[in-house]
Amino acid sequence: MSLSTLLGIWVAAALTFMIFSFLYKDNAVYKLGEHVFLGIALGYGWCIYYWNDIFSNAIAPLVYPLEGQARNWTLIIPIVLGAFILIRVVPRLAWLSRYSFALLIAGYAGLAVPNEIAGRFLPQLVATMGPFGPGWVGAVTQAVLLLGVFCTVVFFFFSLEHRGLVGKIGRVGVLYIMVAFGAAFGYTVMARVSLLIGRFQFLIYEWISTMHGSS
Amino acid sequence: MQKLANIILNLDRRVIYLIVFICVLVPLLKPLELPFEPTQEVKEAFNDIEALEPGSVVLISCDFGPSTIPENYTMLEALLHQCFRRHLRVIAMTLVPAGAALGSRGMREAAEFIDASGARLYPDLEYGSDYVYLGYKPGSTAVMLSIGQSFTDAFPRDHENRVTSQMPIFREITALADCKYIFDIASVGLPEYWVSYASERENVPLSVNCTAVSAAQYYPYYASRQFRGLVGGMKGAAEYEKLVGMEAIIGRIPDATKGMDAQSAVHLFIVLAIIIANIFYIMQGRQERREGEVS
Amino acid sequence: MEQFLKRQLPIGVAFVVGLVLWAVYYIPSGLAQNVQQAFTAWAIILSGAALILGILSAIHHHWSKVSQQKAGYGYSLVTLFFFGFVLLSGWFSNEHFNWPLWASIVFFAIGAIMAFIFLLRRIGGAGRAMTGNGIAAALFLALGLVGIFGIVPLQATLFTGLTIKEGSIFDWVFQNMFVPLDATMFSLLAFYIASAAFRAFRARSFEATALLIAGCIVMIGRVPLGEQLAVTISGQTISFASVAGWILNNPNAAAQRGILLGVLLSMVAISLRIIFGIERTYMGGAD
Repeated sequence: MSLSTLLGIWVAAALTFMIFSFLYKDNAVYKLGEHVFLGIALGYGWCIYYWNDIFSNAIAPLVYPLEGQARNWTLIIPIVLGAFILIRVVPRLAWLSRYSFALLIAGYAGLAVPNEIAGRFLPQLVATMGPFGPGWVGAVTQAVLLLGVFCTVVFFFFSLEHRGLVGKIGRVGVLYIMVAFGAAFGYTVMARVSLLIGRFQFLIYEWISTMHGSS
Repeated sequence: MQKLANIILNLDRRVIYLIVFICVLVPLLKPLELPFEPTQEVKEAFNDIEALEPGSVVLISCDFGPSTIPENYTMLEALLHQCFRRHLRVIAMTLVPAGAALGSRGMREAAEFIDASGARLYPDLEYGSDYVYLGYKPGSTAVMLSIGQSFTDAFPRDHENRVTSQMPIFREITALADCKYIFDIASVGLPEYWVSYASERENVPLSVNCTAVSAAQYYPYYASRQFRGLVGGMKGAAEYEKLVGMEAIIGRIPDATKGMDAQSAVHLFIVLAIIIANIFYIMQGRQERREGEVS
Repeated sequence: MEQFLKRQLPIGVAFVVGLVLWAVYYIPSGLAQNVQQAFTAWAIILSGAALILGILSAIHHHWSKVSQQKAGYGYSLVTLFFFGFVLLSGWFSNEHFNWPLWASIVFFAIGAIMAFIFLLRRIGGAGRAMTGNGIAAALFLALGLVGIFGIVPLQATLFTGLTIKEGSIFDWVFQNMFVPLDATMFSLLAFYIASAAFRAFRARSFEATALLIAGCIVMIGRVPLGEQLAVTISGQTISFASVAGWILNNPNAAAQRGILLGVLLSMVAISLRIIFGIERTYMGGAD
C-alpha cells in the first residue's frame, strides 16, 4: 500500500470520527470538520465548473480551437452574459444579470411546457386509462390504480369543498396517500441506514485492516 | 407498568444511537448471509442490458455524490462489469458536480480491473473506442437536449480534457438516438427529466438506479413502462450484484450484498421499537383516560 | 430609459425566448433545431457561471466574517484556507508551466505586503479594526508557504501532477477528505431517523395507523429478512416481501401518480407565468 493511500485512509477515518462526534453533542471538533468540508466543497466545485464547463465549452473553442476548426465567435455572447451573472457581486451593476437570468429561466420554462406535457403528463394519463387485464389479477390491479389516481387527484382539488360525495372520495384519496407516504418512509429509513452501513464498511474493512497490516 | 412506560417513552436518544450502532456493527463482523431474490423491477433492468447486441452503446449518467456511494456506486460497478463482459460500449457522464470524480473512478476501476491471476479482466478495452467518461456539465435538461443533437457539441472535451471529436466512438455515435440504452444512476431528482427530455424524445429505453429515498415516487414511471427497470436503494444494488455475479468477478462478497444483514438488523430494530413505543403509548393513553373518568 | 433597460426589456427578452423555445418543439426544421442547440450550449455555460457566483457569495460571506472578526471567524479561516488549497492543487494546473509555484509565490507576496501594511498601521496606532486585515495577511502567507513547500514538492514525489486527474493532489483531497466528510454527514441521519421513529411515530389516528403499517411492512419487506418471514396459504406463499411489492406497485404507484399529475400541471402553470412575465422573482432586486 502506497504512503499516499495509507495516509489517505487515516485522514478519512479521522474526519469520519470528527463528524460522528456530533452524535454525543455539538462540539468544536465537529464544527472544524464541517468547515473543512465546506472549504473543500467550494474549491472542488470551482475547479470542476471551470475545467469541465467554462474552459471546455467557452474558452477552448474560442481561444484554443482545434486544427482545421474555426474559432466559434458566437460564444462571445454567452461569455458576456456569464460575465453579467458574475457582475452581480457589484450592487450598482447587478441589474445586468437580469438579462442572463431572463434568457436562462424563460428558456427552460419554454422548453418545459411541451416536453413535460408530451413526455410525462400524457403518458402517465394514458397508463392510468389502461385496459383492465390480462386476467382478473390485471383487472384488479388496474382498478386499484385507477381508483387511487382519481381519488388522490380529487383530494388535491381545492376548488370544490370537500363535503358529501367529494369529501368521501377525498378520504379514500387520503388513505392512498398515507399508504404511499408510509412506503416512502420505509424506503427513506432504508436509504439512511445504507449510508451508515457504508461508513462502517469503510472503517472496518479499510481503516482497521491497515492496523493489521493487510490491504 | 406506568413506570416502565415512562422510561420507554422518554428513553435518551443516545441509547437508541447505541443500539443502532450495535445493529450495524455486529452483522458486519459476523455476517448471517440471509438469502434474497431479485425483484421483478431489478430483473427487467438486468435482462434489458443482457439482451443488447455486443457493440451496442449504453449511456450511463452517474448523477450521484459521495453521500450515496453505498446505494449508487455499488450499482455503477455492477453495471459496468455487466456491460464490459457483454462487450457493450459505454459512454458515461454526470450532471452532478460531485459525481465527476466518482464516475471517473468507477469507470477506471472497472475497465482496468485486475483479476485473481493478476491480469486485466478486460484486456481489449480501449479508452475512446470502447468506453469514454465525458465528465460533468451543469444545466441538467439543457445537457440532455444537447446530447440529443450532438455528444461532441455538449462535451467538446472529456473529464480529463481530451478532445471528444477525435475519439473513434464519436465517429459512429453522434447523438443520443444512436445509443441503445440509457441507465441513470441518480441520487437527485434527475431520472424524471431523463424521461421527458431524453428517453421519450429520442425513443431510447431508460432504466434507473435511484436512492431508496426517491424509489417510492418512481413507481408510476415503472408502472407506465417509462422506466423499463427500477433498481431502488442498496437492496436493489445488491440484487443487481447477484444477477451480474459480482462475487465471482471480484472474488469477494460485493459491498451492497455485504451490507444487507446489517440493513435487516436495523430495520427489525426500528420496527420493533415503533411497535413497542406504540403499545406503551396506547396503554398510557388508556390509563390516563381511566384516571380521568375516576376523578 | 433606465427603467426600460432594468425592468421592461428583460421581461420582453424572457417572453420572446420562452415563446421561441416552446415553438421550436413543434417545428422540425433545421433552423429551429439550431436555435435550440444554441440555447442549450449557452445555457450550459450560463449555468456554470451561476454556480461560480454561488461559490463567490459563500467565499465573500466567510471573508467578511474573518475581516470583521465576527463570532466563529476561526472556522471561516479554515474554510478559506481549504478553498485556497484546493484551488492551488486543481485550478492552477497546467502541464507545461508550473502555475502552482507561481500562484503560491503570488499568494506569499500579497500576504507579505498586507502583513507589512498591517504592521505599519498598528505601529501608527490603528486599533483592533486592523486585526481582520492581519488575519487575511496570515491566510495569504499560509497558502503561499503551503504551496511552495508543500503542494509543489509533494506533487513531484507522491502524486501524478497538479491536475484534476486520478493520482493528483486534487483527486487525493476529493477521495480522502471530501468523500468521507460528505458521506459521514449524511450517515448521521440513520441515527436521527431511528430516534425520530421511536419517539414521534405514533398511531394517533386512522390515517397515521395506515401510514405506520405501510411503513413497517415496506421496511421489513425490502430487506432479506422480509423474504424469510412468510406464510403459505392455499399453496400460495405470502411474505413481507411480496406484500411490500404489492403496496409499492399498486396503492403507492397510484397515489404517487396522482401527486405527479398535480405537480406537472403546476410546473406548466409556473412556466407560463414566467414566460408571460407574471412571475419575476428570478430577476431579484428592487430597482
